[in-house]
Amino acid sequence: MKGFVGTVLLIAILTLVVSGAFFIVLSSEHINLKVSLKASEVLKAADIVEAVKKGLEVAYNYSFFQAAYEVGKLGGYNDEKDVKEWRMYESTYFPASYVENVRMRTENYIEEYLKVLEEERKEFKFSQPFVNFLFSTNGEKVVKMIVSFPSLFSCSRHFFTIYDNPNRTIYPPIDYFKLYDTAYKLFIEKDSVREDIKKAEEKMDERCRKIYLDGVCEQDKKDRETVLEENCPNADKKFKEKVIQEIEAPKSNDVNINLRVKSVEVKHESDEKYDDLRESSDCGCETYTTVCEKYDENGQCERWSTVCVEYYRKYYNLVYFYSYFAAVKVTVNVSTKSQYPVYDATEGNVKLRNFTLTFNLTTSNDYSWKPI
Amino acid sequence: MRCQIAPFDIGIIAIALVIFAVISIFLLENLHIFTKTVVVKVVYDTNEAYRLLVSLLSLNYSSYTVYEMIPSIDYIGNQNFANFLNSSLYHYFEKAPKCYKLSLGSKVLVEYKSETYSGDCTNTRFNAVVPIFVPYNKAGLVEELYLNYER
Repeated sequence: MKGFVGTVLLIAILTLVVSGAFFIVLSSEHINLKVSLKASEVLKAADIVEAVKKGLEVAYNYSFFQAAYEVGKLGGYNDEKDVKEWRMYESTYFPASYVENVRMRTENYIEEYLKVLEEERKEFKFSQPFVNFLFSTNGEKVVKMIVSFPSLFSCSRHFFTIYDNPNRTIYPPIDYFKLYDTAYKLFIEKDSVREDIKKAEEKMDERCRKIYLDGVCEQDKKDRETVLEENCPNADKKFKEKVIQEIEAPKSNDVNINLRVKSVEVKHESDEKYDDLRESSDCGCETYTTVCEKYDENGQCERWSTVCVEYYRKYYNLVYFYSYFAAVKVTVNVSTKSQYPVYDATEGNVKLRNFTLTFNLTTSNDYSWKPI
Repeated sequence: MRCQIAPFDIGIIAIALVIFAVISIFLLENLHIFTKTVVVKVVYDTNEAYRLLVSLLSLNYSSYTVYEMIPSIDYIGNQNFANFLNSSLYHYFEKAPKCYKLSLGSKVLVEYKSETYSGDCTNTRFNAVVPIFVPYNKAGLVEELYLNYER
């Protein structure tokens, strides 16, 4: 009897031990499952954070592209109301703050990108971005765009938060900055449009610029305008065409340069030069006098004759000179050869587009003449 | 009265201890290892599509990354890029998948279905969605990129 009770007791203990062990196993499995589900959430979130991190650099680039495109379209200015012509004859107005304008816009666009992400994915939180450009010349110009934040960005789910670094250094296309360098050299340091006008004048027909008349009697001398019209009809019109042709001829080096003449005023001035001006019997007589050739017995003049006392003068090596002047208002487009994905508000779409620096200038080949 | 433990009882206790030790040491351990392996695999599988999507975005296609190409596909209009995506996705799998579909928002970029698969490859076991930044525009700056597939 005692042995039987002891056996039952031991079996009960054994059962308790075994079921206890299984209870521990099962409960730990339950905990494991919960931990695993959480681990799975963390892993997914980590991958999403990874995708966002990959995208940050892209978003910073897109922001720069858009800012650079818009500032370029405004000729380096930030606002349409600030836009000035780069040149008004001898006075120049280079938008020295163009880098700052691009910087500010880039900063705003980065902020916009991150705000949209925060709105669409509530778990993300970014602090205020700061953009800074660093220029260095190491043989060739290098530009760095440093995007920094005062704190890490976070991705928070209900039981965990992932923190990561949103700071990046971007190398924006140097082509964009070359647009400004090239435009500065061509239209601020020197006035290449003025040079084009001079070239246009040089390309005018010789007979439109210099007319040799050689020996011309003064009474036959025609005024310079008439002579010009006979030798070079519509000279001003021809000059205007040459000016437009010369200015609008596409130019290209590292960048593409296109100029469009918006308005043009032309005029010409004339002058003359001759080696000598003196009386010449070739030109005929200007003043006659009558003299008696033969007297009769009574001393009366029997035959009169006219004698020239003054001949017309003759111009020797007479040359008429014509100078041409043009004043132009020009729209300059300096664009990169590479294209970037940007939004154009006028066309209302996103496309691969060239960065274009667009501005106006007014100049002439005689700064004292300002008809425009 | 002296308390005596019968040899039979000692035997029972010894067996109980041995069983307890076996359960504790081997069964518990093995069960842990087994379930953990299963769970880890399950956990690993749950983010497999995410890993694939992140890897895909990191690939380079000509001078652009896949990340940049995907939202630009409309205006770059490059059929070769679609072929590149198909090839990259298809070769990711060790054997031909039943289906896969890569979509940007509601727009399907590339899609594949095996002859035996009859679904639309939307509610698949493997799926991932990540936000991606698109070139600046007025409609939206962030879009969702979806990857669905069924092995």
